[in-house]
Amino acid sequence: MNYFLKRTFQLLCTVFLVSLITFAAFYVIPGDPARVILGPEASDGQIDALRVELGLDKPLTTRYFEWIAGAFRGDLGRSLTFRQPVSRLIAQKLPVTLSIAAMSILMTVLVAFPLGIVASGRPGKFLDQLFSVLGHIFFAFPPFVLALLMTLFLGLTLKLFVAGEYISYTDSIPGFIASLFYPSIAVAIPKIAISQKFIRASIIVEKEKDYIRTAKSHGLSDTKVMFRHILPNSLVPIITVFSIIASEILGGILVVEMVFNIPGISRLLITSINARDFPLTEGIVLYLAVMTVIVYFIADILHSLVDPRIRLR
Amino acid sequence: MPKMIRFHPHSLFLIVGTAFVGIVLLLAMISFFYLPGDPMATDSATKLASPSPLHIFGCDHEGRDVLSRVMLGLRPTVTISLIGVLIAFILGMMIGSASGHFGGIIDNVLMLLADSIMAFPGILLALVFVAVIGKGLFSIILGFGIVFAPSYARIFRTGIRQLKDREYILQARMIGVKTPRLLIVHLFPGLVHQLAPAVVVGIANMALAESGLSYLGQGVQVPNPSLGNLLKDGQSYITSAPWMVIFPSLFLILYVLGLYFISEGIRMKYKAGGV
Amino acid sequence: MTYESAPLLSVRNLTLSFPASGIRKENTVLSRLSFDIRDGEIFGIVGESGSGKTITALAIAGLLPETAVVTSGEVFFRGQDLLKLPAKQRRDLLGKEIGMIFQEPLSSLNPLMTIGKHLAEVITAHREPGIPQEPAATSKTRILEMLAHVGFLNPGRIYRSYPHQLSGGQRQRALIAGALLLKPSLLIADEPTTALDSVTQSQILDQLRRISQGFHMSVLFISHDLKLMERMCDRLAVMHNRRIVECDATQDILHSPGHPHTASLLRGARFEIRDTRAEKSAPSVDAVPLIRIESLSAGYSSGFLRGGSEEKEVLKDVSLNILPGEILGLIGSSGCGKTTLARVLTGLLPGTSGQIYENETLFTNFSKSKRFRKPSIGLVFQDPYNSLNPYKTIGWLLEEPLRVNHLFKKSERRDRVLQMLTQVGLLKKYYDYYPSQLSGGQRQRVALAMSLMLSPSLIVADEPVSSLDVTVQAQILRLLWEINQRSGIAFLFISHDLKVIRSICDRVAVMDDGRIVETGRIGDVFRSPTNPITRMLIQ
Repeated sequence: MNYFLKRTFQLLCTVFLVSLITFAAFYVIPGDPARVILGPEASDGQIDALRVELGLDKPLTTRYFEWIAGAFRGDLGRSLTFRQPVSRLIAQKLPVTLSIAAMSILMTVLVAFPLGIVASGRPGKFLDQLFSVLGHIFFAFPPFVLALLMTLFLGLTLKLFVAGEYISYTDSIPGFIASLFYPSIAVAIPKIAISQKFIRASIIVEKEKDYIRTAKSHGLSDTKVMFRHILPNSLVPIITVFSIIASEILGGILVVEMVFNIPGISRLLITSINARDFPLTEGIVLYLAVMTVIVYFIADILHSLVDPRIRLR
Repeated sequence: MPKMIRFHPHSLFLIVGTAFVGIVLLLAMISFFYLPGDPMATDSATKLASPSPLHIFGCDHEGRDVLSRVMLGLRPTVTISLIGVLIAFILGMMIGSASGHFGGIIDNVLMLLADSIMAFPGILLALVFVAVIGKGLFSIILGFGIVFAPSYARIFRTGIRQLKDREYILQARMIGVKTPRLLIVHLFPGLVHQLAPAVVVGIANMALAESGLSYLGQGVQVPNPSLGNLLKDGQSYITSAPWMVIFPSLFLILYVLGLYFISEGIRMKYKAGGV
Repeated sequence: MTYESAPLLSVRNLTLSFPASGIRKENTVLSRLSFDIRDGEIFGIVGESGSGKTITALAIAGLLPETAVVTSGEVFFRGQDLLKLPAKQRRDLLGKEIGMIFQEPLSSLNPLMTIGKHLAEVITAHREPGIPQEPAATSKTRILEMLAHVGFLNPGRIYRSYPHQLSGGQRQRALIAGALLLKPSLLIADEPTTALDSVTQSQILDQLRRISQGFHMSVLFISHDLKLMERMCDRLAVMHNRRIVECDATQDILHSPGHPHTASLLRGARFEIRDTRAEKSAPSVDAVPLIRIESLSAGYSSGFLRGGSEEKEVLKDVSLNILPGEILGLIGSSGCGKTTLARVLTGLLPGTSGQIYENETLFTNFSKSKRFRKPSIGLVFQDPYNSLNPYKTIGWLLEEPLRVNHLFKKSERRDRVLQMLTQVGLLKKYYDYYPSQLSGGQRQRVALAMSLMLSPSLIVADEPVSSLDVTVQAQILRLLWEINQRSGIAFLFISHDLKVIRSICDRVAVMDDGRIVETGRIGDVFRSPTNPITRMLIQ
């Protein structure tokens, strides 16, 4: 209980700092934000109007608190480009991005675990070395390069899919999932490579530990030892690695979405940056950062569930 | 051949990795003295020309020589990745050392700060910086330096906390070694085996982040080439001129793969008992 | 003791090796081993580390690493050759007929499982096919009974506890309970108490003996400690260099050893360090104390983010004198505060109150200021593997005290170091070596040299020989003794090993729960202790 409270407190502090950083990043530039947004050719009247709209006449702290208060209510201001509430724009695009993220994570877990377990069974033998080298190579492929090459080879040469086609979930769910399939693979492959290596290494380390010797001396079969003792204990570092991977997946998706022309959060973000739409950019960044913090938090809670040493002092 | 691998796998990684990175660095450096063609000269005659003895990598949609553009494009990638990591490392060292050495409230606050920064997926913070400060080498390096610093801070902090109660560190304190020397001369060598791979991997990740940024149009601006925006251009012509995509990808992969191999080789060497 | 006709366990000409792989050559670890263990007897195997004791145990149990190959021999258990059994049958025996406990209780339990759950696995692993599993409640009762049997006063609490909530001794008892749960006929115990303090050690060994008699169970007891063997074992085998060199009834071996190696083990165990002819008379108790510790209290504080510091007081009002040139021993059970005292005395840990005087001059008053540093006090640690910076050469490490305190000219430092190396009994060539190239004993010599570089008047030695082999222990103790005799440096010698203390100290102080409960001349205290705590420790 104590640990849970402590982590929640840290979570809140982190979220607070994150929002502070996001807010500050936009308003600490020298000069007048409104002028920066509108460019050098704007008239004074336009600039003044924008200043009022953005609330720039109020002091910094007031602006921050109003923004935060709004964020709690779900109101992140209005986009300058689209003339719509920021939160509505985000809500439209976020499900797509989150779906890709979910699919990628699922793929990673489903593929990396069996590969890692198998590789740990015969360390040093041919299969293990093969996996290792392949893993290294795939690990180095940045998701968006992979996406481009996939488009080139799988999409155009082999015609396995139509590049740039996207089916919305409102039209057809299987079609939606199909069109997200290849982007998810592009993001997942390097993560599978690194996870598999890590899982294998964790298992090999645990296998050498003394309590495994005890379990064997109790007469347990190898399978039972693997699933009751080795895997649960390997989970602790694996959870940590997966939380880092999950947050990196988000970064990878940002670029992959553009390669495959998927209408997710990424396109919205780039548009907002190019148009200097500060409220929209701010809102998106806040959302994405808070999501990452929540992922880490969930990982910590999982940790404490798995490992009693963390739960009980 | 398999026997060779079993004997010295870490050497194999190091050699191949260094070779890959070497090729890339070599090309980047040559670009300062010699370019086979003019990377900026548009020529409608050679638009989308396929590779030929004159243009080894072919030409792009504006008729520019792809090889020259790739060589020129390597420069920002290499520069940003190297300088960015340097900044991240120094920042991380200062924050992590303070955190690990002083402990207590300072440690809690600094690590909270580090965690908040790590909450921003790599490219995101750089995007923010670019959006605010404007596009340019400075904002990119600054953004990356800040984003990557926390991971180094963590390594320093955890390492210091683990080692500072080791008997040989206590012994050093006892014979009168003062804190700065204690940290730098006595303690840091114990962290090298973790830091070295992390630095090398950091360079690779930063190169990836930079190319991602340029691909999104937020990094190096056209017509100045960068591996990222070459890929962006190439994507539109992927059917008619695949070499516009293949060659920039090749060099990016060479660089990143080579760096990963080097880092893996270092890690394996230390595990085998490099000390 | 009735001797039945067929022994329970019979090992015949067992030869074991690790075949060559890659760069490693073939390595024979056991050579034509033969011995018998009879029903209900406690059989010991004694030898130095590396003689092959543990491998023998693993071979009998069937827990050898995959790379090990039995090149010849048999292991007969109740007439069956274990080595020829299929894996599954071998596994069935393990836990049911043959139980095993190991040396490291702290890491031998799955940290994620409660003791109860862990132990229940033993029962479920040996379910007979076709016979319905006994209800969980019955299993639980069996486990609780066994936990009580091994000495737990509150089996229910232990059943629900996780390993990290238990002490080393408690964990070892739990492991014993697990090994005995199905009432095996043979228990293999590989150095089961080496990692525990002497009080717990006695308790567990007594328990083992009682259980062996009560269940009519044979025990294969492995150790490097001859004294323990004498207490525990009916018969004994001495192992040296992969072979058994002698095997007979314990009393016979110990009183009239047949093999030279046994004789040298016995000699090593006796520890005659002090050479009474050369001895300087120990300082009289009335002499001006070198160090006087007055009402010292110290502790650790662990607090959270803001305040809420929980002070854990470890030293409570400690007063102690260290006389110039003496070797003062400090004993006590684990956790009593010996190491904390060492840390405070050497300036590594601040005290909360009290004063320390050197030659009657106050040099620290903890009631006023917290920290101090006194280079005239040196410190030697227990763990030789962490006490030297692995990234620096020996020469560099030994020059560092001189460098940092600006002593001697640069050119002279190397000579001083080389002199020091000779003084501690190391060849000068070790100047350029790295710690990883030195053995445990050699590293302790270097550690000692490091303290000596600053010409201290007192060296605090915290369990300096506890991690070393018995023969090496004697060498290092002799070195300490010679340094004390030659240069008059006083030693505060902390140890849990009474025979070590007895062999080298002039006076001894006894600590319990953060307080000094008795001090006095070594002979007096050991012969007629006044304090019950002392009596319990000495036994």
